Amino acid sequence: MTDYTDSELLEQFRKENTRNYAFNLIVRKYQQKLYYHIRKIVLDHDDAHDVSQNTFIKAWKGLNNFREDAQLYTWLYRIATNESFTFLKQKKTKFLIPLGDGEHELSNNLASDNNFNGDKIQMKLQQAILTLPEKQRIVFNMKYFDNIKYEDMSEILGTSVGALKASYHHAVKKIEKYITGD
Amino acid sequence: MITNENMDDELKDAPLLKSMSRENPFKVPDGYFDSFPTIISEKIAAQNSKPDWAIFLQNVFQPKYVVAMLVFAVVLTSGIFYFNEHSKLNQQEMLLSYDDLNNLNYIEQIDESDLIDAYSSVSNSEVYQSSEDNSDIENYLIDNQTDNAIIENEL
Repeated sequence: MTDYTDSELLEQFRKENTRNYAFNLIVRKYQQKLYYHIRKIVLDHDDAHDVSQNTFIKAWKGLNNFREDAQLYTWLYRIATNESFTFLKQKKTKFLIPLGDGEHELSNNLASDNNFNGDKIQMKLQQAILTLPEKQRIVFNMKYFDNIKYEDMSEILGTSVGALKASYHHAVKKIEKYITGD
Repeated sequence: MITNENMDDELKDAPLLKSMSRENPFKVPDGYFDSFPTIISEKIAAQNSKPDWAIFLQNVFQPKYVVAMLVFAVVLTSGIFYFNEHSKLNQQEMLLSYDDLNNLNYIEQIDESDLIDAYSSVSNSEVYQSSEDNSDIENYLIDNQTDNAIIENEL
């Protein structure tokens, strides 16, 4: 597969005869990054699969109106993040999970997940991440695992760089404390 | 530019986190990412092949709207049923009253002479009353010395 830049892919997407092909390439280019970003929020593979599908369907519908003021990947990440949180909210409502118990539920699911192949310490890290507030959790995941620039994160989450740095700093301290058992 | 060095600086107060492997602990079924683009293409093709009215119906018949529509339909049906039953009951009541009259032969039992007496008593009282009214008018005209010719002309 030829590596196209985002601009080239968008150009091809705007042409009627290469639209489907271009979108297929966009999916191939970003599916793994977006899937794992979503997976770190919803944790379960089946849920991540559903949310990934919704994300790309939304991207397909909205890509015609996408202006290149933002980068394609930050735009896709934003859709994926919103879809993940919407999914979790719907799941809580559907299964009548009390407010604040969603993280406990996610932690239990993770413990019994066959698609989680981390060791004991990684399981503890994931459980520590689940104790964080929603926004801090996502900031920590994006920085610690994916090393996404604060500037890009700011575009994705609509939060200032300063606030993101502070959020990450607090998250790191809380997680370290949780893991060391202090 | 944020680099791994910058990142490590941010973890200087968290030695355990700094030492941990940052490998992705999540796995997916074999060949998952090979088949995923096809799944998306099929979904998009299915959406594109749907006519506008099907998309409209799909949007309208979302579970949240269906529940509201069902409640409305139940209330409407109950209202119509209640209204129909109520109006039928009134008609039946009216029919029953005629039947009762027939069954009791009520009209046949009335003596015609009683009806004539009742009618004539009403007529007499009206005649009596009208003659009384006329005499009052005549007395008034006499008292005021009104000329009958003027009244006739006016009429």
